[in-house]
This record gives sequence, C-alpha cells and structure tokens, in this order.
Amino acid sequence: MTKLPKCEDKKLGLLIDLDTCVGCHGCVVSCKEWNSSGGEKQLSDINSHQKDPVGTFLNRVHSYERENSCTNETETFYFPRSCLHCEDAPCVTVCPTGASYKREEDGIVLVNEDDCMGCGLCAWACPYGARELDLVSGVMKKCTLCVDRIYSEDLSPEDRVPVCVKSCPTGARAFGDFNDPNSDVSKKVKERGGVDLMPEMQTKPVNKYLLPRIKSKDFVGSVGSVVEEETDATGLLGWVDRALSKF
Amino acid sequence: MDKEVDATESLGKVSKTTCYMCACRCGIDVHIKDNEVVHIEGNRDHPVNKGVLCAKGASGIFQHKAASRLKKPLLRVGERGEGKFEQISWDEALKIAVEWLSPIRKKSPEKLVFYTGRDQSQSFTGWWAQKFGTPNYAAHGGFCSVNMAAAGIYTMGGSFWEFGSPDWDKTELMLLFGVAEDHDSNPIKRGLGKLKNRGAKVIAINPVRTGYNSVADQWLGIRPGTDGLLVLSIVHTLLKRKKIDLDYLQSFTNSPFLVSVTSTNNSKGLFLKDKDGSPLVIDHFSGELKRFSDKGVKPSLTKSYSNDYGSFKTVFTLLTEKYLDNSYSPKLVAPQCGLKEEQILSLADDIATTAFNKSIYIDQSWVDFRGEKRSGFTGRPVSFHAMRGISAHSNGFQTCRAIHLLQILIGSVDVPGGFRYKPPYPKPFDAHPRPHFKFSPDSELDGPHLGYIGGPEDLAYTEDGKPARIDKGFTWENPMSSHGLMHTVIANCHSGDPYKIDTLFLYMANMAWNSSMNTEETIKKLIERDAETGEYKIPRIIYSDSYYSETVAYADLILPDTTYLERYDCISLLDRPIGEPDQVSDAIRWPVVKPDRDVRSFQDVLLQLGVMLELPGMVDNNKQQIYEDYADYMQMHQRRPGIGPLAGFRGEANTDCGRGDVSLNQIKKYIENGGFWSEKIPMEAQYYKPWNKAYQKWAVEMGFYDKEEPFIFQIYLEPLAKLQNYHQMPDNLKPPKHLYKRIEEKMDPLPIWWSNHDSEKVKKYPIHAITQRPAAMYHSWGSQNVWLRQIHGSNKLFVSEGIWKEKKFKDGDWARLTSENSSIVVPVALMKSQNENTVWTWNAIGKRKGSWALDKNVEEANEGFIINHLISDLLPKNNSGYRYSNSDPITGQAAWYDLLVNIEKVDNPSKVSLPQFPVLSSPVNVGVDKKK
Amino acid sequence: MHPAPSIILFTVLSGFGFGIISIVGLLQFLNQISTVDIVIFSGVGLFFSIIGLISSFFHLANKKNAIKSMSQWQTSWLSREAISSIFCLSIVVGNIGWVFVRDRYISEVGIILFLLSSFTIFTTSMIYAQLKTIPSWNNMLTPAIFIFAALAGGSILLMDYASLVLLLIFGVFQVLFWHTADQSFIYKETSIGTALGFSKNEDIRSFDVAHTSRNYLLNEMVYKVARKHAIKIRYISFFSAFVLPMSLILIFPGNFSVSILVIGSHLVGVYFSRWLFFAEAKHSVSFYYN
Repeated sequence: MTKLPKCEDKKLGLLIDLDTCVGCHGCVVSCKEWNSSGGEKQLSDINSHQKDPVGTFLNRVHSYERENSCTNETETFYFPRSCLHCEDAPCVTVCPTGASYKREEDGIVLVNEDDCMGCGLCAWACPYGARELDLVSGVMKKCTLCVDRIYSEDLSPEDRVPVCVKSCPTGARAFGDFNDPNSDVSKKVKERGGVDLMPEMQTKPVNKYLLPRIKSKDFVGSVGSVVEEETDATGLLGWVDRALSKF
Repeated sequence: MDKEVDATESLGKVSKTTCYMCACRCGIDVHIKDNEVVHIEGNRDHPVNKGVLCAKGASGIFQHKAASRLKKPLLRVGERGEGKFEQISWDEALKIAVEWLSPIRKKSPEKLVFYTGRDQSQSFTGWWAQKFGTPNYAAHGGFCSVNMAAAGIYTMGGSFWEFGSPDWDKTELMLLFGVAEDHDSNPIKRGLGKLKNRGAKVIAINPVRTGYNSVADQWLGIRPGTDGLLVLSIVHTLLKRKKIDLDYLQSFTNSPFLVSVTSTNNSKGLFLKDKDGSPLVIDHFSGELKRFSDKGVKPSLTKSYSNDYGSFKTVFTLLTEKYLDNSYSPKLVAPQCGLKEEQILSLADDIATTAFNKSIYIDQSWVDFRGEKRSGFTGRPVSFHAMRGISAHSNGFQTCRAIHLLQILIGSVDVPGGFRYKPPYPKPFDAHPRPHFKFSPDSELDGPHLGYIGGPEDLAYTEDGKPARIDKGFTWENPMSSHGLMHTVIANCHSGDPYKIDTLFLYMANMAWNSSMNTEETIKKLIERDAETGEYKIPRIIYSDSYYSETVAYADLILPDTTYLERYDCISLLDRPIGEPDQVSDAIRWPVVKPDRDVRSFQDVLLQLGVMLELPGMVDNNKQQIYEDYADYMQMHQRRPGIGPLAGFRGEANTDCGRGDVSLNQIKKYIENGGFWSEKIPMEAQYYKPWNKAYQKWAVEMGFYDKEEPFIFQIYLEPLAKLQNYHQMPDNLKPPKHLYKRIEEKMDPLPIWWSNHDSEKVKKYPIHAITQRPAAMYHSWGSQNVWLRQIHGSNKLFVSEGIWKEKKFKDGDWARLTSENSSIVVPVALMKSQNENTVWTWNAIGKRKGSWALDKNVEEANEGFIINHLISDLLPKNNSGYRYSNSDPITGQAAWYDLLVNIEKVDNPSKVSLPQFPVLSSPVNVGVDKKK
Repeated sequence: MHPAPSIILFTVLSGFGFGIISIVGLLQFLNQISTVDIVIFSGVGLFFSIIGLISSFFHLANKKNAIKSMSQWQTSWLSREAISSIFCLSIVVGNIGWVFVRDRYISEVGIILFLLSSFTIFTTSMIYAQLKTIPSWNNMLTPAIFIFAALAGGSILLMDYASLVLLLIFGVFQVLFWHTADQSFIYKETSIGTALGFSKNEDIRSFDVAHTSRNYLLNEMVYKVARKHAIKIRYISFFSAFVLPMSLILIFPGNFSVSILVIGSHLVGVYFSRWLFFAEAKHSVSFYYN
C-alpha cells in the first residue's frame, strides 16, 4: 500500500558522521556485496569487463571540497549517500503498483520486487538519488536497511545491523531507532546536532547526518600557549644539568 | 514480510580465514554454498579488524573469481611480450623449471635471481632461496617502505607501518605524516574513529588532503620531501622551549653516550666503550665514568670527557648543538616547506602542551633493565604515524629517523598514549640477523639474506670486491638496504652488472607495469636480445602469478598460483606481524574452496621444486621429501627448537604458546579458533617494553628471542658513524671515491635533512608529482575487480589551484607532464586542497591493453594512466659521469616521490592518455557479465 | 532528465489522442458535430491515445507487472492516469459503438468524455508536476502546457478559429513555462549545500567523482543539454508548434489537407517542446554530482 503509515513504534535509520568518514568506499562495496549474496538477491553489473560498465549500487560515497568561510581554508569531506527512509517518502506515494511501501512497524521503506513494473517514477520522486533501476532484473533497487539482517535469527545479535554499519572501518555509521529518545543515535543527534538533507523537500528523512566539526578552530592563536623563555645551547645544557640533579 | 527476513539462510556455511588484499590481513567470514563463495564479511572476533572490512576486502569475491585468473601452466611460444603461450601440464612445467634451475644450483647458484613481490610468506620464500644458495633474494620492501622499516628498527627496534600503532584509547594528539590509505589501513581507520569519538586531536601533514587527512582537525599541506625539515624545526623549537622528557632521554636512550669528537682520531664519531665493548657514560652525581647499564647509574646528558685519545661529548650535547642552529628555526624552515611560521610554532606548542600538560600516569609497578623498580608508567599522549609519503623520498631514511627522534625527545614511544609496539616487536637491529650473501656451488647460503648491518664490515661484497648481490644491496651505495632493491633487479640483470645471471624468477610483482620505475625502459630490457648470441639479455624468466597481469607476457614459463581462498598461508611472527599492542597474534589462510582450475599454490610449488632439486631442508639425507606440502611445513617446520611458523596451539595438547613442540593438529585448531591465535601481554609488561623486565621475560617465553634483549634507543646511530669512518677500512673495502662526499654528507649519525633536488632541476621542473593509493583499490589487482573498477575505472591528474589558473585549465582538459626522464599526456582536474606546487593522481589505475581480462577499449587502458614512465630508475649523470640509482643513499629505498615535472596544456587532445603500448595477446578471455 | 523517446512519444501522442477525444466530447455536448465525425474522430483519438499508451509501456523495465499500475489510485498520479485513461477509452469505445449502431448520440455523454479525457491529460501532467525534485515541473504550468497542447492539437481538425485561440493559450503557457524554468529562483531553497546538510549558500564542489563509471542516476537524471543547443530547439519548437500552424490556419482556413500539415507541424513542435521539457529539467540529485 502506497499510503504512508504512521510509524509510531519505531523509526529505524542510519546516523552518518561526516566528521569521521574517510571516504574509503567500504560501505559502498559491503552493501553491494551483501545485496548480491545468494538467493534471488542480485544487483547487476553490465559491461563488467568492457568500456562503460554500469552497475546497480545502493550506497555511494562522494568527495567534496568546501570553502570554510571561518578559516578561509579549503576543506575536504566525504559524503555517503543512500536511502534516508523518509517519513514522508515521496517515492512511496508516487508508486502506481504498490510495490513501493513503508513499513508501519519500523518505518523501513522497501520495494516489493514482485509488484514493481520498473517505471522509474519513484526514483524520479526521490530527491536523494537513493533508488536505482536494475537494468537486468527490471525492478527498482534500494537500501533495505538490511532488513534481512537486522531481524535475522541466523546472525549473532551484534551482527544484526545493516552491513554498511558493521563494515564501516571508522565507525562513521550508526544504526538505531530515532523514535526512541534514549537510543544511541537519538542521543548523538541531540548532542551534535544531527541534520536532515534537503529539509525543504519536506520528506522528513529518518536518517540523520552529523556535519564535519569546525576544524582549525584553535589553529591560529594557540601560539604562545607554552610560555617558556627560549634558550640557546649553553642555557639549555645548564637547565638540563639542574633538572637532572633534582631526579 | 517473511520473504524479506530469510535471506541469511541462503548464505551457506561460514569458513573463517584471512583477507589478502593488503598488509592489514583482516579476518574474514567466507560464506560458502555448494562449493561456491557467496558472501564475504569481516570476522567480528578477529583482533585486526573486529568485523570491519574495507572496499577491497568486501569485493574479494571478484578477486577470487576474477576472469583474469590463469588456468594452467604456460610456456611462451611467441616473442617475449607478445602474450602468446601454450598450455602445458604441471609435470612438464616443473620439469622445465628443474632443467633450468638444477645446473644453476650445481655450478653458480647466484645466477638464479629470485624476487617476490607482494609476498605474504617472506620467511618461507627467503628460506627457500637460502636453501637454494643464491644471494639474490628479496621481496618488494626495497621499493615499498624500507626507509620506514630500517629507520624504525635502527632507531628504536620497531617502525610505524604495521609494527606498532598509536595508543588509540589514550592518545590525545595524533600526527599523521604522509599517510594515505596504506599499510594497517583498517586498524588505522578504526583508531581514527576512536579518536574522533573521544574528541582527540588529529593533525595531518600531507601535500594532499584526502582520506584520513580530510578528517584531521588540522592539515598542513607540506611540500613533498620536506617533512624531515619540518620535524627538525619542531625539535629545534622544543629544545628552545625546554620541552623534552629528560628522564626518558637519560634512562632509555643513548643521549648520555660519549661520542669521540676528535677529528684526527680513528674512532671519530664512535662511542666511548670499555674493553668489553660496553658504552660508558659519566655519572651525573659522582662525575665518574661508569657503564651505562650499571645499577644506580644516573648518566649525565651534558658532561664532556677527555682522555689521551681525544675528547668526547654526549650525544645530547651534539644534538643540542646541531638542532639549536638557527637554520632549523621555524622562520627559515617554513618557506622551504610551503608552510607558515605560525603553523610550525603552533604544531610544536600542541605537541609540548599535550605531552607535558596532559601526561598520563598508570599506577602499575614494573622493573627496568637495570633491575630498578619503577612505580608506574608515565605516558605522553602524543602519537605519530608515518608511511610512504615519508619513506619514498631519497631523504626518507633520515626523515623517518627525525620523526623517531621527535617521538623520543618527548618520551612518547611505548608509553601510555604514545606509539606502542606490536609484539614480536620491539626488536633492536642487533637482535636481527646480519645480511648473508656467501654463496658457493651446490650448497646453501650461509644464512638469511636480509638483515641489518652493524658497520662496513657487514657489507655484501665478494672477495674480489664486487657487489655480492645482483641488486647491489648492502653496498656503499646503499649500505642499509635491509629489504634489498627490487627496483634495480631488471636493469642489473639486463646489463649483467655486477655479474651475468641465468634465470630471473619472480612472484607476484607487476614489474612490467606499475611496480617498475621507467616502465617503458624496463619493458625494453625484458625483451632485448644480445647482439652477438641472439639470446635474450635476461636469458630466462619464470613468473608466478594468479592473474594475467602485464608482467605475465614477459615471462617464459608461468606457474599459475591459486587465489587467496584456495591456499594455505601463515601470517607468521617470523614475518610481518599482525596483532595489537596489548596482544600477540598470528593467523592462517586455508583453502576454504578448491580451485576449479589446474593451478597450485606457489608455496606448494616451491616445495615441490625444492624436493626435485634436492634442496637441504626440503629433503632429508636420504633425499626423501620432508614436507608433504606447505600446510605440512606450516605445522612441522622449526626455525629453532620449539619455534615454528605458527606460534599458537603448539605442543601435544595444542596448549603451548610461542614455544612448543610441533603438532599435527595445529592448523585444525587455528581453523576452529577462527583462523587466528592471540595471547594477551601481562599488564605489567604492556608498556616500556624495550626496558621492561616483565616484557623481556614474557618475550623470551613466547620465543620472540632466546635471551632477554633489552636495548636503548639509538638517537645517535653509531653504524652510520662507522660508515663515515670508511677511510679506516683496508683499501679493497673502501667505498669508490665518487661516493666519499655522499657518505660524509648523508650518513650523519644524527637525523638530518637535505633537499632531494638541486636548484637547476627545480627551475626546469618546478612541480612535484606524486601518487596515492585509493582506499578502494590498493594494488593493480583492483582494476580487474568488477565492482572496484566502477569506482576507480580511470584517473585524472589533480592540479592545484595556482597551477590550474596559471595554465588556464578547464574541466575536460588534458596536459603533458614532462620529467627529466620522459613525458606523458593525461586528463586533468582541479583540486584546491593540496600543496600549491604539487600535482597528484591515483596509483595503478591505468592498465595496459590486453591485460587483466579487460576489453581493450576499457577506460583503464585509454584514459587511465600511470606516472611510472616519468620516474627514472637512475638519476642523470653527475659531475663524474656516474648515474646513481634513484634511491635513498642509505637504504636504497626507491624514491618514487622525488619526481619533479613541468606541466603544459595540450591543445586538441586525442583524449587518450600517452604513452600507449601494443595490445597484449591474452591466454585468458575478456570477462563476461555474470551473476557472481 | 534523460529525454527518453518512449516517454516523449507517450506524452505527445496520448496527449494528442485525448485532446481529440476531449474536443469531440465537447462538440458532442454542444451538438456541434455529426455522428460520422464522432465515429471517425473518436477513432483517430483512440488510435493516438493507444499508440501513446503502448509507447509508455515500452518504457517499463518489468512489463509483466503493468496491470498492477491500476491499484494505487489513492496516492499515485500514475495509477490515476492508468485508471482514468482505461476508463475514458472504454467510454470512447462505448460511445463509438452507440453512435455507430444507433446513428445518433447522447450529448450528455459528450460532457463526460470531455471531462474524463481532459482529466486523463491532467493526470499525465501531474505525474511530472507533483515532483518536488524537479522544480521546473513542480508548478501548475506543467498541467497547463500538457492540457492546452492536447486541446489545441485535438482542435485543429475539428474547429476553425477556436483552435487558434487554443493554440494561442498553449503558446502563452509554453513561453511562460520556459521563462519560469529559466529563472534561477526555481531552486530557491535547494543547493548543493542543503543537499549535503549544510546551509544554502555553502561554497562546495565535488573534487573527485564518486564513481568513474556511469550509473542509472547519471543516465536517467543527470542529463545535461548545452544551453545554446536548447535555445535553438526552443525556436524550432515554437515555430513549428505555434507560428507555422497559426499562420497556415489564418491563410488557409478550413482547408482539410492544410490542416493535416498543420497537425504534423504542431506535433513536431510539441515533440521538441517535450524533449526540452525533459532535457532541461534539473533533478535535485544532480547537486550530488555537480
């Protein structure tokens, strides 16, 4: 059903820390890996060994330069981009077949591939480029928040997180319930000011981002914090001698 | 909804083994269904990665199923370099190899040149070469990071790299020098995550602000090759401000040692020692000459001494005199480094404030090497990490030494919050072997090839005064070349200098492409024939690789290797360690799936060859095979009694650690334990390891060494002083005259810095050109990977804003890059956050047409490029007409990053990178799309 | 957005078909049309609508599920369009049958046809107009150009001077649409800054690509057309969709064969207009790939 449910129970999502992400693409490939593993799950690759390869990925990492107006420095940061599991998910309401839906119990936005006709409209409706039409299977693919991991009885409890979260080497990705004010993700959002992407699109994303902390803040001005008179060789050796006598 | 939740069921059974994509060697869970690998993810219990996995590891499935995998042994049928082969059987292949190798061993074993590239079993391959009897063995360390390793081992018994790590849980300030995605990458990423989480400060010193550098709190976009100067300027500033750890210097370093300063003296620059060779110091309180190691001695750092032989000053005094010189003042240094004076001062302040105002104290008594009890561990929570950006310069050894000097001055090595060793390190240079190179027909070498020289007496010359090794390792040109010089091998084999060779045997080293300097020239040397005999100048080449890399086409006999999921391997303490500062670990790989091709693991093949060649150690006195295969070797081989390749699960009950009897169940136990073994270091032994009795005792118990080896840090490196004293050597062992000046200038026993370029060259080629490895593609392997090549399928030259504007570049433009050696044409892109005199690109993205099972029209082979063509393996002729190798003068480390270029815009570019090479024929088909 | 021919043909041809049906319905309601013309022109309308719908079918990557597109009328404009078009076409067929058999018509059915057919065109337009991700579409000018393009096209054979009025209205809306799409304020809130969680006016640029290979998003949504090229196409579109048809109608009023030429020119003009509609549309995802 493409009518959006009220997710009053849980709002599961990701918290992504741009201050920590080093742009290693580990999450990109782990995601592709998990979502191509076994069963019917496949994300296709066309022209895999030829010119113009095109493959389906559910997560991407971009690299940006930003002019920091406070420090006049050019900074770089990395930006992982995937489905934000929006509360007002436009990709769901536009779907004509009912393949696109948002789960009431946890807010995860999914595609039922058995119903998808591959019109691509949901991808057009998503501001974030979170959906990719798989050109081999002809159906829309998107981040499932690893719904086949997070509830899986086959995995150990600590592995019941999205694979991008498990694999992230720096720990820049966290998974949790944003509806629960006491969850780690909610606390971090509060503490560091988690932000929405394109809030003007009124999609109310569940996923939140933590922006790079202000860098170089104590760069200029810390000079002289060690207020020691400077010395020459003779002075230094004399000081050393006196100091060693105290040991 | 059920449908969504049951996907894990289809993942089959899990086999736990070890990743292979880089030197991290993370633990992986490989899911296997119907003998097919279906999924790989990180092993949560593994000490290295704790479940995380990078892009390379996560795409291992395409490493394992790569279309470019070789399928059967190959014998060249066309010309070298064409890529035309016939498939032969293993019996034939081994027979041919033995026919080539057997006469060599019988007559002149040095005519086999055996170099392994990205080999993760160097203790085994080195052992094999030793048994064969050739002195010509090394792995790829010489062109990788020997500066880092040698400077670390010589100075403090361990280096950055994967031999130690910052104390991630306690450090408050971390400085990263020249680190891109590199060795120990997942542990570093995990560590950075911890620092970020705790709000600890990270300062990155790197010409380019990508990756780790981008999350650093501060970034210093330094001019390539000037890090040493920056560090010594910080040393200057700290000395001026008296911000040094005197207790540490006095107790644990050679700074109180007395150095002869009388220039007429034959022992100038050497330490004052008693007749047993024990270094002497002046006791601060009594003023008497005492042995440093004596109980109760409080060595003076400042008092001089004279006797009949001359005068002596303490290392500390020399150090003070040297670094307080105004030439190291931030004001003079900053412009040379492309930085501001305030940046250097602020950096020095941060280091001093953190080290001394935020010091840590752990209340845990311990006993030092003099037997004196200490009540706790003082910590200086400043940590450093440095990698290839530092080491791949010709001043890299001294630069690494300078960084270690800085660490030591503030007392932050192996202390809480500082840099900590990973067992089995620390291990001082004199506890490592010396180089061995004495060969004779039909017998094994006199010892392990690689090691650490103590002075000129350990250099590798034959009796007639010629270099003993084909790579001229351990000669006056590069006396401390502890990892050999793989980058000189092809050139020297080609020219027969220092002697002619017969067979070049390479393993997993892409020497005809991205692993060589001057690729175009290297390729010519591989195919050139002798004008008189018509034979190839390098008569025979045997190569083992798993894949159809660019180099395969240049070999005569190909021994196809397995993939990493199809073989046994040991990640051994005899080799490069894994593990963490608080625990010792080793690990295995084991065949989690069987090969579906007629390939054999290289180690198995070496053992088979060893048996057929009847090499000692591989056959017994009755010529009977000793080890069935490599797995058997892993369990049954003993280097010393009780010490084998694997340290865990030894003994009859598989309960012994480190030392113990061999066991036939050992591998089984490793597999049951998740593919690894680890053991915690006792709390009392966790810090101050070089001087900590408890650690030394534990290390002996574990078998890292056989007697306690406490040592002190070599701020002043006496072996270098011995080299500088070359005039004392008998004439036949003296260095060639043209090296005198270089030895005197560069082999300073205290860290120094010099510019790698003369001003003439800088005028002609004012721009630094460097490469970085993308985090998602560590090796040339990545290009064949279906997923990774979609991320990094082509590369551009990133140009700084100043150059971009000056040359009026626009998006989509192409440029010609010219060095002293050659020129290339490449696409450009703007990147502002880099040093203004620098251009850079991703390493090893460019591919040769026809290789790696890629179609010849792929982006990698058309737009993609490598800058290796620009880098010469030899420097231009100097005044006396000699061409030095493009290497560090001390270690022979390949100076990849010394490259200087100029850049010009190309009008009407053909949109194909240049140079281009003929398309290689391929014994494997271009890959096709398929489900994985 | 990628100007996919299947989608362009769909909107142009089904629009034209439903336009004819709307006009037939209107004339039927006003008793201004003969039974023969109802049958003939309803048939023509039916033909083009179905060709258009078939064309859209070819755009689907998983055609076997097309039937399911009727299910989500509560939220989905595409679903509404599917239902509305099928419903409308069924009535057209019924009407044709009734008229053909009885040789007379119920004029009230005409108003139903007019409303339903116009609504169908509206639903088509709302598929695009609803997308906040593409501000140049996300306004009422989109339905305006869709509906008036369809009505104007549909009226050429059936009306004389009235079609001039419809063409004029379409022309005005089309020019307004282009004008609006050109305004920089169209992305008044969204920028690369907001896309990445920063504020609107951050100075941010991508320094290295996220992936060197192309992907669905780049192929589908990050289509770039050169500004100069686009302006040229606008002139072509404007000339063939309005200027030439209106001139010909004024010069040769009521000439059937000229009307065929007028329709041809008009449809070519609308085709170019639609091509630009897609090609010039900037999707918010392109900020990530700037």
